[in-house]
Amino acid sequence: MAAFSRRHVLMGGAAGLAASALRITPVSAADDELYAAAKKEGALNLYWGSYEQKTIEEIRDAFKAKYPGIEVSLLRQASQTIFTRLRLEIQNDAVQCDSIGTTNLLHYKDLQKIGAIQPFKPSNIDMVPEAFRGIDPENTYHVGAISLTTINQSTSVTAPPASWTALLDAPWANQITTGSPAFSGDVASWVVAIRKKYGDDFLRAFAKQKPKVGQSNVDTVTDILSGERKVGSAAPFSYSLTQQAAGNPIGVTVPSDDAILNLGLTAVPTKAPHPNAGKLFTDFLYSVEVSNILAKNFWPTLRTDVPWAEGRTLESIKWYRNPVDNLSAEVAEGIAKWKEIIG
Amino acid sequence: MSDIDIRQLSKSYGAYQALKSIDLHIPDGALLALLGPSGCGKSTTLQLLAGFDTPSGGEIRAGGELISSPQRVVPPERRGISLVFQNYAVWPHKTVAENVAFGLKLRKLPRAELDARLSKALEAVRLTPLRERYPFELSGGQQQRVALARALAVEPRILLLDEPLSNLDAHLREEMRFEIRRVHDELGITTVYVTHDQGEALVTADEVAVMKGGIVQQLGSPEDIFERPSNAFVASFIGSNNEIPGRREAPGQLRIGDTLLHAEDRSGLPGIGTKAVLCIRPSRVRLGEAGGDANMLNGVVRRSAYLGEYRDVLIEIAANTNVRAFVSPHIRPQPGEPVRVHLPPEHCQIFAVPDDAPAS
Amino acid sequence: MASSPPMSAARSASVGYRRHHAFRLVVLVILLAVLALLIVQPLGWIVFNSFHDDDTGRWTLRNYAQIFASTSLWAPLFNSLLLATAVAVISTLLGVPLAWLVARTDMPMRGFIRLFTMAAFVTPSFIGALGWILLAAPNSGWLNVGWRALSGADWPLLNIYSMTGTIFVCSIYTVPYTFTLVSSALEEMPVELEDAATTLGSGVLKTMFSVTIPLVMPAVLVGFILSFIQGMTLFGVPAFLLTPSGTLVVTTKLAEFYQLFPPALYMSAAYCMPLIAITGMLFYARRRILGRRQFTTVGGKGRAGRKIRLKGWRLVALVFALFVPVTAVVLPYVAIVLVSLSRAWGLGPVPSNLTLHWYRWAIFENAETQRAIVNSLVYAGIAASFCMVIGILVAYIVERKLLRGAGLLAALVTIPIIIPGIVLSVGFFSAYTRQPLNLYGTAMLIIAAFVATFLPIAYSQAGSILKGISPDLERAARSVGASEARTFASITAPLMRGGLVAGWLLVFIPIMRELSVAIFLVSPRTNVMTTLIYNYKDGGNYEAVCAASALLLFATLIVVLLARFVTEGAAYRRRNAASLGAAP
Repeated sequence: MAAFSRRHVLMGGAAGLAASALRITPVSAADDELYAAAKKEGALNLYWGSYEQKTIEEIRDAFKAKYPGIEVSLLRQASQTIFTRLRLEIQNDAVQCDSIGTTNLLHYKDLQKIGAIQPFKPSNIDMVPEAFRGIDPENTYHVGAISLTTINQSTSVTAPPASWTALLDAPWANQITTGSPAFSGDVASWVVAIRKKYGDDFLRAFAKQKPKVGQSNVDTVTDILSGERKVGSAAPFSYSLTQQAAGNPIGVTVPSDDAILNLGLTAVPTKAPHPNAGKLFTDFLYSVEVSNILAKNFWPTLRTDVPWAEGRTLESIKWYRNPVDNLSAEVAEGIAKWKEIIG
Repeated sequence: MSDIDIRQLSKSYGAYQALKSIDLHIPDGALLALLGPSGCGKSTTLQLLAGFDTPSGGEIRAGGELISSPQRVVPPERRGISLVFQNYAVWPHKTVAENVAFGLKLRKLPRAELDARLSKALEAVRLTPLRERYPFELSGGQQQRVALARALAVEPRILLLDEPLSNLDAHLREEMRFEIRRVHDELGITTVYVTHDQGEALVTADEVAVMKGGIVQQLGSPEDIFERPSNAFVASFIGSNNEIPGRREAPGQLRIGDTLLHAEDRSGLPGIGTKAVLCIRPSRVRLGEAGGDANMLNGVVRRSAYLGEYRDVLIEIAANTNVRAFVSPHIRPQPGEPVRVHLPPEHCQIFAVPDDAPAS
Repeated sequence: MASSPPMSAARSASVGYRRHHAFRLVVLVILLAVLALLIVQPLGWIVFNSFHDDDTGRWTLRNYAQIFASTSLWAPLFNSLLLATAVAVISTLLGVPLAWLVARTDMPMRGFIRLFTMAAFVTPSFIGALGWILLAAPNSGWLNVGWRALSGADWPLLNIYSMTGTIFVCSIYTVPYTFTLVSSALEEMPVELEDAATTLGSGVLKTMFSVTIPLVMPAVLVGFILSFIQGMTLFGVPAFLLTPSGTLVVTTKLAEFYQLFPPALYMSAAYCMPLIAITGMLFYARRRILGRRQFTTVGGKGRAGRKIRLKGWRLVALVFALFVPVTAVVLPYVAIVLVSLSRAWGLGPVPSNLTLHWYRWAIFENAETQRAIVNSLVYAGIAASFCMVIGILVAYIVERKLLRGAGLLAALVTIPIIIPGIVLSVGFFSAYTRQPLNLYGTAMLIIAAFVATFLPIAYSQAGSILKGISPDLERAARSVGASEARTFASITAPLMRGGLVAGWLLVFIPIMRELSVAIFLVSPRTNVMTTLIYNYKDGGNYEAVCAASALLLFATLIVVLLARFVTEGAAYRRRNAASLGAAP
């Protein structure tokens, strides 16, 4: 106890300068208590599908550095796999997960319906952009990642399509690559948004362009880098920027008729073996450290006070997010229409 | 060493009755041959003796001890019964010496005794110079001797031989027959020898059990089996034989066409006028000689083949009825020539008509 | 007095009788318990699940009713059937002659072809598909780019995004099954059988087709069935190559079931049942074809190896034999290695873009990859060994008919192979996350799942080896006093050894590359290479995917070479001992 308070005093005494230089925010009073409880639990099992392996590993490592004494295990798999696994754990009453993070809102609707995730209010949620605060009135799930769906294109394309509707122009026939809404949550939410904006006529015209349909939206980048196709529709914004930064010949266009914003979410299961550690990790997500890591990896940050990579901000981008009320039915309908019209 | 007592032994595979209640007694130190065509039940008997199969009925005792019954089968390795296989079954991954020593090693004998018994077994089959060879470097006959040495080295109380010579060439086969008999005489192990070759059986065995259709047709010494077969099947299976069909007029009398033939009646048939066969070995048939009136027939020569040591003559004695005669090569009957045939009554035997599926 | 020695003999025999049966009983009970835990339980859960409703969790027949009623569920089944049949036929047509050329003739480069065919086996199919996308995508595929440059045509020579392309890629990665099975059967076959045909004036090819191949028919049929099942259960290749054309097969349809809310786990269990029926028919057909024919080739007689001389045909044969190594390994791995050596693979293989970064990262810097490489090797090694032990025991019981109902046992251990890994994974999850058998999160769980999944291969491999060993060799040992266990250890096992190593590899390699079955079972500590590679793929990090794939191939090949070294070393020593013994 004595050692703990001494450390606390030292941290406080070192004050802002040292802390910001080290990019370590001081542990808040609320987190102090949570940290103590989490430390008692001793472990944290993360099940995450949001963010690719490298970014989520960096977040995990930062957490370990900040909160020693908690053994952190990270299971990074595709969002749908993570969700299915948690469902299985719940079914078999063998929950191991303390924090789930996936890209699909419907996962949380489903988990909420069966009472599998617990309500709590993260202590520093106030630093999150206002639009993404309190997205669940019951506080069972919270924002975990911001994912933007845009257009990407090969650097050989001098005048890329400036909007979703521009994709339907003649030059892009046989040049488009896209993912499948049946396999990718981001593509599914793009289909819902585009049908809201332009109806099924868009899909019919889109089908005439003979797009190549892969599985994941990541496949658009693959097709562009290999030269198989020139332009990606429903393409991942952050991942395309990462590839660009790595030196690959790819660029990103934010369509004038809105980037489609899809929220990745996170929750702590009701039967989590280490619930305090799970909550502590949720708090940590909204820390400056994590937002710095996100910015470094071309992800939108989760804090208003940390700009994105290359000086972008949420405000600088025109975006649209699907209303959540009837989302489940709209996704099912969107996939069915897609299959009917595009194949 | 021990005797073998087989009582009412039977074995069925589903609906198929491979063995229909056989009784055999093999005295201590004897060599019994189980002789018969394939499917006669001889191999089934051997499998049951070796303990690889469970009988459906009856029992087998060795030295008085019950070793097989439907209720319990002493496992093969506990019987003291060695088996030599038709295909040798020499282990390809072991040398000659390793093959032979395997059974000895299992008995955890002291080194010196093991070596002594190994050498003795190899010596017995004359394989000492080849002891370090692998089976693929051996001829078939050598491999078979490895199998024999392997079986003998463990000094079994009973030795089973399953068609041991059938994969060897004719010359080697003849030599090995005497070899097996010699080894048996040397060691005096109770031995059961399964074969379909009458020559092997007659040369090697003290007693021969002729089998067919899952039944022992006759058990007896080689001479008995040959001279006094108990039925037409045994008569025809062992050596060459004439089977002349006719009608039995009285005990010891068989009518063939117009002729009444006299013979020893071993048919055991009750009534008069039933169908029966007369059996006589071709070597006992005489041609063109006056041997009294009894059993003289007129016939026509149909075929005559010179075989060096004798002449094989086929004579038609009635429509669709032929008789074979082995006669001196100096007699030269020509095809088409009429000839007198004499069937000496003392060599003629009357049997019931052989049935393809004899009743049990 | 005279009756006393037989009395004591009877007593000793009776003790032996009891001990013998007690031992058999213990082995049987343990084996049956293991099979119940490994197979019956998970399969039971899958069947149980298939009769439940995904939404309500209640008993229902609706899942089955839906399969019968909905034609949209038939189409994937039909497509899978087409794919699997084509894959089985093509890999048999490629694999059998290839095995003959390598095992029986003096064709050049046999060692190279053998090694590279194994390398094809090591490659997870989704990585092979990735390589072939780089090679034969209609616009960008290197082969198509080359074709257009050479011919001036404006249409692509190859389109990998098609059923034909999918069949092709599945086939070349399935050939190794047939190849391995048939070549080891051919190596065991006595050369005299071929000589017999040749002396009758039969030509080399005629002999091959009329004598050699029919003699190894059991292995050919097993290879055919395994290839068929591969075609049925592969996920990666159809997911990558058929999705663009909108064609669904069973495995991609299953993946769709898993994307629903809640995931249609129970429906997908029901959807696997037709596959079990189809495979059952295949095995029944195999039994009908093989029937009463005897294929015991290793009798008591020795065998000698001698190569058939191809003379002028050697080069023709070589061109044919190079097809699989080149298409399944050389070409795609050139693409994969080039990507793995790139800073940014979209820039292409120019000098300024080359780096060893991704290898350095995977081997030295990243703890996850390090752990996954070790895990993969250790789990696959342990699981393959257990698999072979159980597979041999079951095959022994079945082949030597030690147990009534042994056929049922054979059917049981064969079922897991036909159930797509993702469904099996759920079955294992249900089976092993409950008390008293909670293995969740442990390495034991993954190993158990791998053992059960690949037991069918181990069993059929062990069965075809045992078919080649005459039971008389075992009976000979019994009759000189060896117990059943001792006979197995001293005679059967050593005679199986050559085939066992091949069989072990045949299990080890698919475990190394297995993805789906592990997917719900791995924990952070028990992650394996394939799940990790799939994650990198999911994150679009192709340089890491390719570097890790190349490492996976490399690690597996080292094990393959070690295994071959060990067996060939043993064979060499034996030959040497033999020739020493033969010297006067």
